[in-house]
Amino acid sequence: MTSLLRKRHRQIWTVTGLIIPVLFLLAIFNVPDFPYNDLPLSQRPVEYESVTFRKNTDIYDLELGKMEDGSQGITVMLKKAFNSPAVGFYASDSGDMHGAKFLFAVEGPNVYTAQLTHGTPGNIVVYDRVHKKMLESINITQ
Amino acid sequence: MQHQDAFYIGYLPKAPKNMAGLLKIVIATIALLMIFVASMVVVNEEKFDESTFEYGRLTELKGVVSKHPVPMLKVAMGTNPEGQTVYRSFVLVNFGKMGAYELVDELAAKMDEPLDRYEVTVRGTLIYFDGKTLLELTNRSASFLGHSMRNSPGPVSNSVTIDEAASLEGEIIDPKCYFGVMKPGFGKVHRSCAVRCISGGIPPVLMMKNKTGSRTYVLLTDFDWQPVNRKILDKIGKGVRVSGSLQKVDDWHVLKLNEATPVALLNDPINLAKNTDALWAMRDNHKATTCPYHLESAINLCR
Amino acid sequence: MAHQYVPVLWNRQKKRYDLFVFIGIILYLLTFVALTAVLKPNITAEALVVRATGSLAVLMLHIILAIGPLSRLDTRFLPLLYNRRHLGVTMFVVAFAHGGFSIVQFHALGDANPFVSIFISNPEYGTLVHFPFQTLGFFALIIFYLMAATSHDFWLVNLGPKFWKAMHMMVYIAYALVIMHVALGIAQSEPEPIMLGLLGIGLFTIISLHVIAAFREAKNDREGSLNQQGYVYVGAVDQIPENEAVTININGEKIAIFKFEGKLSAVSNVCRHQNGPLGEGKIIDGCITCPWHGYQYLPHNGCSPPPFSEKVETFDVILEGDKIYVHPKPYEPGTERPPAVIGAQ
Repeated sequence: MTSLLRKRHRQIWTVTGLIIPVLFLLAIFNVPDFPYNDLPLSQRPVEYESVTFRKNTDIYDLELGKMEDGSQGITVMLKKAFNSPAVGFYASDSGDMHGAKFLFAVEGPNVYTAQLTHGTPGNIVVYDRVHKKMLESINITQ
Repeated sequence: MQHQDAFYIGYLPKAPKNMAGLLKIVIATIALLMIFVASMVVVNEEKFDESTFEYGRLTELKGVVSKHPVPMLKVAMGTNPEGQTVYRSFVLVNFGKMGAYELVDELAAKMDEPLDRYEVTVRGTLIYFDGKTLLELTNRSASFLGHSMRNSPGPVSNSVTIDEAASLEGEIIDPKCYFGVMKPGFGKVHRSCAVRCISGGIPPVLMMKNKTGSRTYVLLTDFDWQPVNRKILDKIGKGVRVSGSLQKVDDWHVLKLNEATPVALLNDPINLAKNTDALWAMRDNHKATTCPYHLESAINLCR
Repeated sequence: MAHQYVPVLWNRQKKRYDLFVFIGIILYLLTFVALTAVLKPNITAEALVVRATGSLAVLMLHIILAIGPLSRLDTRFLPLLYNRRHLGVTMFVVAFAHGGFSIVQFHALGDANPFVSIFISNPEYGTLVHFPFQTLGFFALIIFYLMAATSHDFWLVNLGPKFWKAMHMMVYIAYALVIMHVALGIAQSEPEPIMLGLLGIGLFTIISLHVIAAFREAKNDREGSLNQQGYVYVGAVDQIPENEAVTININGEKIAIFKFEGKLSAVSNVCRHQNGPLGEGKIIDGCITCPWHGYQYLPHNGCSPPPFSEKVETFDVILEGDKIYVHPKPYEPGTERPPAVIGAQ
């Protein structure tokens, strides 16, 4: 370490030692906030006159019920998207995709409803249409 | 100057004893520091999204290729109890950081009739997260394997105006990275990649978030449904307010940006109440109703 | 002390040093990967590589920068200084993995040349928080590359020690760039207080070590003033331990006066290798030995013992009683000058 070298170190560190901590603190204390919103849902949940079946999981709350006019309906309140590319809910008597009738496709957290025009099925099947994989078969017990 | 009994010479076999003692402490300290810092970085970094990019796995799908509102493959999910065919929109993107506009134009040029008359078999790589799905045309134009005339050629797209003068706040992201290819696919760290993707033709999307972590997505086009990519490159990856006509096109929301001041940078945190009216209007049913829907329920459903 | 150039002059100390560096790196990466697999399993492979190598490189840089001032404060740290070059080059390799991966990940396969994209994809050069942090990282990497590429003594000799050292002083510019690369990069996406706190502690430690070392050094610097017949008073013979030296600064000329075998000789305090402080060295086997890398010079003529060829300037030293005087005019490097004999009049 020569005296010239020490002088250079002193110069560099006087500048660096003062400027960099200031810039560092300015940068980390001025991180912009994310503009959070209150997100609405696209659908309103259906109010059933009487609920005939209910199932609550981490991913969804499912209700089957009777409307005022006597028709049957199904409502799924999805809390978290399925980790699959294209998921549909189907009404099935067999408990699998044989003869299953399409009800609705689900995407992100939202409310999905359909009328059960063919009567109350024995099962509700959750099916990944792309991977052709049954994700769940829900037995509707009376 | 320190008076040392021992003197270190690197090219001799061993270091002097009093140095060796300190060195052992130094080495142990550095080893602990390695473990400590690595742990601190991993433990404290933000969780990554559960998004999926099925890299190395190609999937075949049959559907209708459309350029409206952005390049998409419309795949029929089924016919619902009301008798309507429900389509799922797979946003199409090209390999790398490129959009699929040219590929779809090439495909359309080969056809005798408009694209919506055909059912096309497409092979690509799936990208999906949080209810949205994209298909990467990994083999570029060779991703289109064949086509046939549709059995029942009706419209595959249903477009509804939600709010003519909507104003939404969030962050503009590129959907390819965000929904599966990169983590994180948003924020400043990812900004330059998002700029590359959107500059390359991947459709920009506004990502909106609430405090409980739920998110909503809105495709962005210009007022004539045309790509708006090049005009918004300096607004990507930052808090913005976008203004325009809000549409629901099947399973995607689309905002047709205004000509004048379509995207404004936000400097200050948002006053949440400002946007509520426009946001309540975001519904499949475009009829105006008095909405009894309560915020509390919305928060219950959002995790 | 090479009279011919080989890639690395391996010896046992260097091998052990490099082994510990290698073990340290493996320890860091294994901890990082294992914890990530358990706690953050949704990560992509690319993000894992970028984060592991980036954070490791920053940590290594702090260790490297601490070695210099620590060695000035306590010479027991000198073994860490000895092979610091290997540590620096290794840090560059880790940083290159981080930078290379990032450039491919964020800029390749798009509609622009990746190296152009680094500069134009986020051209917010007029702001603070939106500033393109990748540009800062890029220039830091360039500096580390230049340092790694010229780390061999071949370059030291051919570029000249002064220019070489000036170039390697750019490590401080690189350090500033790296701190801001993190503060304006990942800190903007994930302002985690603990991680930023750690980096802040690192920054504070490096600055403090340098400031403390600077003050201690300033105290040891002794200025001499011209005296009778142009000679300068240095001190009393008893002040110099056997086989060691005192140093004096006369008008910018740093001189080391060594005492050995009842004699006194004066040479330039500046080692020809990397400008190390010869006056802090020792006489071993009749040779002045530099405390940094062990380069040697004969005290009576400033020449390296054969077959080596480095030479330092020599100075005249006289004794009056027990008072030591040295003449500040340097002789040509390698000029033999008679030593002052202790006890003779």
